[in-house]
Formats: sequence, structure tokens, C-alpha cells
Amino acid sequence: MAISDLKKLNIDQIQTGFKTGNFSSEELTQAYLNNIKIDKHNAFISINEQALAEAKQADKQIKAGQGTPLTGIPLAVKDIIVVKDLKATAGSKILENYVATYDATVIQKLKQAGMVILGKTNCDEFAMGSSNENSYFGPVLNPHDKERVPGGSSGGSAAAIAADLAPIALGTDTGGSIRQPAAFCGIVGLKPSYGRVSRYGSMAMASSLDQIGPMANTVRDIAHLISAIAGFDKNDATSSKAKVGDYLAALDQDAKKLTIGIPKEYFSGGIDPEIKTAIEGQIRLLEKAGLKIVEVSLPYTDYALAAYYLLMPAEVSSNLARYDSLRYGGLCLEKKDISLDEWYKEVRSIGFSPESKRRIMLGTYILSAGYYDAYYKQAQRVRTLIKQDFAKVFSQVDVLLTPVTPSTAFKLGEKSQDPLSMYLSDVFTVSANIGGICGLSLPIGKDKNNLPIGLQLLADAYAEEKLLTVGNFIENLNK
Amino acid sequence: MKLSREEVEKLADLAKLKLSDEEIDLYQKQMKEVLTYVDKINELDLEKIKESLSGAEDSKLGPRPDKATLSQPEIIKQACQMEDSYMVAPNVFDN
Repeated sequence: MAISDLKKLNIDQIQTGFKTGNFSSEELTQAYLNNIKIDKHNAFISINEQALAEAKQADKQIKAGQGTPLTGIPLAVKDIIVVKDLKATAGSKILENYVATYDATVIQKLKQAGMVILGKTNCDEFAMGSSNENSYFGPVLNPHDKERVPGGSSGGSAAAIAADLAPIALGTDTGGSIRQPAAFCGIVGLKPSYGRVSRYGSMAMASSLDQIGPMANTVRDIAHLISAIAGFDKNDATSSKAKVGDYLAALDQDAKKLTIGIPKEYFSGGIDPEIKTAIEGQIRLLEKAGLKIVEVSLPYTDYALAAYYLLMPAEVSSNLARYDSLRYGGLCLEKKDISLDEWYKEVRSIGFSPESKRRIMLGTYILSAGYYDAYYKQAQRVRTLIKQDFAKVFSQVDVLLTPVTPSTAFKLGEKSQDPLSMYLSDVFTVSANIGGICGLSLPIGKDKNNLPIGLQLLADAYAEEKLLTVGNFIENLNK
Repeated sequence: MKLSREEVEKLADLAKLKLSDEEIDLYQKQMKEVLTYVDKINELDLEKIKESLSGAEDSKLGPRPDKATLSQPEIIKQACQMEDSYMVAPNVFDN
């Protein structure tokens, strides 16, 4: 394989390239940096000037036989995850010049494993959006059709992989922000179970829902990444001590021993008929291949999105209170004679996007006296019902199979003036975050406009191995 | 769903946001739509259901103890304005 041929590279192919001497990590990194330089999708916000030096170091390790499976593999990082000495803007004007002072736990782990950081990818401001149109640095364009959105909020990470600007990326998923852009861009994305991966160093959006996860071209690559980043971290009190699985071995487990549930609530309502047909086609393929398929019900599904748009803005309004343009750099106003209160209002009004302001306002309303009981507490109770729904269903089946999104990638500007219609596009993904379970999005084909269609697999908390077993099986079936 | 203009102004004040008249009109309309939608959870009889703080088993650990992991100069070097080794912030109280 020639270095000029960067199409859809996976970790195994790259390792083979290193071993056979076809290319070095330095050459590969340079090739990706060249692609990033001429990129027309606006996928990156900043580049790591040390990338080539890191790649050289990785080459030394590989030569000395000290590499891990990830040594020398280039990585793109969503700009909401901090990497020491690199800018971390979270897609926001209010952090435009902020340089991170430490490495997130996932970054420490991946640096330790020898990965090479290419740069930081564009995203909706503070990970808030489903289209990547809420970035201060401009929208990301979908590599399959530049007039369409790449999905959000990890749109830059998804587009980077789809446009061959990186083979692997990190994203974050609070209500679908890894799975939905993965579906829109035709790549694979995993939202790990809540607590599976440390959130230390991921700027908090909605702390009870946020998770960091990997995005890649293949399910196998996802297994490599989650193996490296999963596990308890004393710096994140919500990270779990549950045993970390053998994710690579899971790829070779027998999918036919697992039972697949089809939740009927995910196939009614406003789903695009082409997506429905494609998913049903996959179900028939699996059945033919010998997997047991059963219809199941998650009766509270209809309330999940409503609960999400109460819990999430409430937590957002608290988490975004810290951005005052004093402590994290930011907008240095020339105004000297204003009070602290006026300063806050001034910098936050200039520094936040309309969507951030909208969510802060909603959250402030939801948490205010008189409404807290009617909204926030009620939403916490709905969360209990959704958890019970999943607990019941996962006592009957191993994995749920659903669409990721009700439509394929929509046009830029199509929903940006109508927040509610934008929010409704998260309908199939938010439940996993509310319930704390894990979800995998993988591409299964294209619609009549040649846009990717994604399929979602959901499994119980800390059952990522089952997702990988079934995900790998489906990927192979579709080869 | 009622949400008056005055309420929106009050929320902006609480949230430390300065909004233009157009923004207030827009957010009033959009927040009403979203709140009308999310209000559907109140169709459910939730009285006897316990609250869940997250999707995980609710942590009994509580927050980790805070500790300084970086030196003061490293952390505050990005402040807009410094005086000696202090960050300068606007007045909290009127003179």
C-alpha cells in the first residue's frame, strides 16, 4: 500500500504498513497533516505542531520492538477534550485562546500507548448540537455531500475520519453526539456506558450524561481504542470499578449465541422509510445468519427525549456558569469601570453562541424555584423508569437493534432556526445516555441520495463486549 | 405554557446573560415551544418513583477531595490582566 493511498485506513493495515516498512509513523502522520492542510470540510480547529516529533518518537519505539498496537497511530481529538499545551476551545469564542494545562485521562492513556495526536477537531459549542452548526469556528461540512451537516456534536471527528484526515478520533456523547455524526458520515462510533471511561479532562456539558468514546472506520478499531481508554480513574468519581472487558476477544465471540431485541417503539413515528427498510433488511440478514431475533418493548421511550431536554439544559446551565472570561483566559474586554456582574453579562453574551444561551436560559428556568419540582425532579424520576425499561429488556435479550437517526444527513441551515425540530433528531440516541447503557453506531448502506445510513446497537451497562461481537458480525455480513 | 417577557428578562439576569430585545422575543417563543414539548413527562404518574441522579448505580463515593495539581503561575498565566501575582477582576462591590 502506498502512503498516498490513505483511504479508510484501519489500525491493522497501518500496523502492517509499519512492519513491512511501507511507511513510517512519521510519513503517515505527514500524509494526514497534508490532507488536513487542504481540507475543505472545516473538520479541524487546530493542529498539533508536535505531531511529527511524536511520530518520530513512535517510530523509535516500533523499531525497538516496544510498541503497543496503537503506537504510531494518528489520532484526532474533539476540541472539548483537553490535551496539555494545545488549545482547547470547545468550539466556543469564550475559550478561543484557552490553552489546556493538563492532559485528560484518556489522552494520558493514549499518549502512553504511543498514539500521535494530529490536532483538535471542530464541534458544536460545548458539545451542544446535532449539526455542528453551533461552532464559533464555522460549521463542518459532510464529506459525503458538502451541502449537508456532518451531524453533531462530534461532527469534526466524524468528518475527519470520513474525509481521510485521520484514521481514529475521540468524540463525546451526551445525547447521541458520537453515534449520530458517525451515522451521518458513514463511520463507526461507540458511546461507552456511563462510568466506563473517565470524564476527567472532558469539559463538562451535562455531567450525568457525558461520556468520551472512540470513532473509527471499523468495529475492530473501536475495540482497540476502548481497550486502551476504559477503566476506573480516581480523578473521576463517577468512573466505574466494574471489570474492563476483553474487547478484542469479543470480536471473535459467537454472535449466534446472543439474542437480538427489536424495540417496536423505535420503528414508529417520523422515521424515514428508506432507513426503516434498510434496518429491516439487516434484521432479515441476521435472522438468516442464524441469530435469534425477538420483538421487545421499551414503553417509556416516548418520554426519554422530553426528560433529556430537561436534565441536560439544567446541568448545562450549572456547568457553563464557570465561563467568566477571567479564569480560563477568554475575552479581555477593555472596559475598566464596570462591575463584576456587568462583566459577566458582557463576556457571556459575546462569548456564547445562541444555542448555548438558549440552553442556559432553559436550564435556569428548569432549576428555578417553583419549577424545579415540576421539571427537574420529575425528569429524574423518568430516568428511573427508563433505567427500569432497559433492565427489564436486557433480562430478555443481549443487544437491541435500532436506527440511529430518523433521517440521513440533513442540509445545512435546514433546522438551525427551529431548535425543537433539531432536538427531535436525537430521539433514538438519548435513551442510552439517560439509562447509562452503551451504544454502537455502524454504517450499513446508503440512501437514494448516496448518504450513509447508520444502525444502532444498544447493550446493558458495561456490556460493550456484546456490542462489539454483534457489531463485528454485522460489519462482516455487509462486506 | 405561559412564559412572559418579564420572566425571560429575569432568567437572563439570573443566568448572567445580556440579551437584546430581539433575543428576548426569540427565546421567549422558542423556550415556550420546548417547554410545551418537555411538559409531556407530567402526563406520567411519577409520585411513587424514586429519582435517579445518573444512568449508573448512584455513586456512594461522593466527590473526590479537591487538591491542587498545578502550580499557581501555570494556572493563572492565561488571565487577561495581572497585577503582581494576582489576577485582576472587576469590582465586586460598588465603590
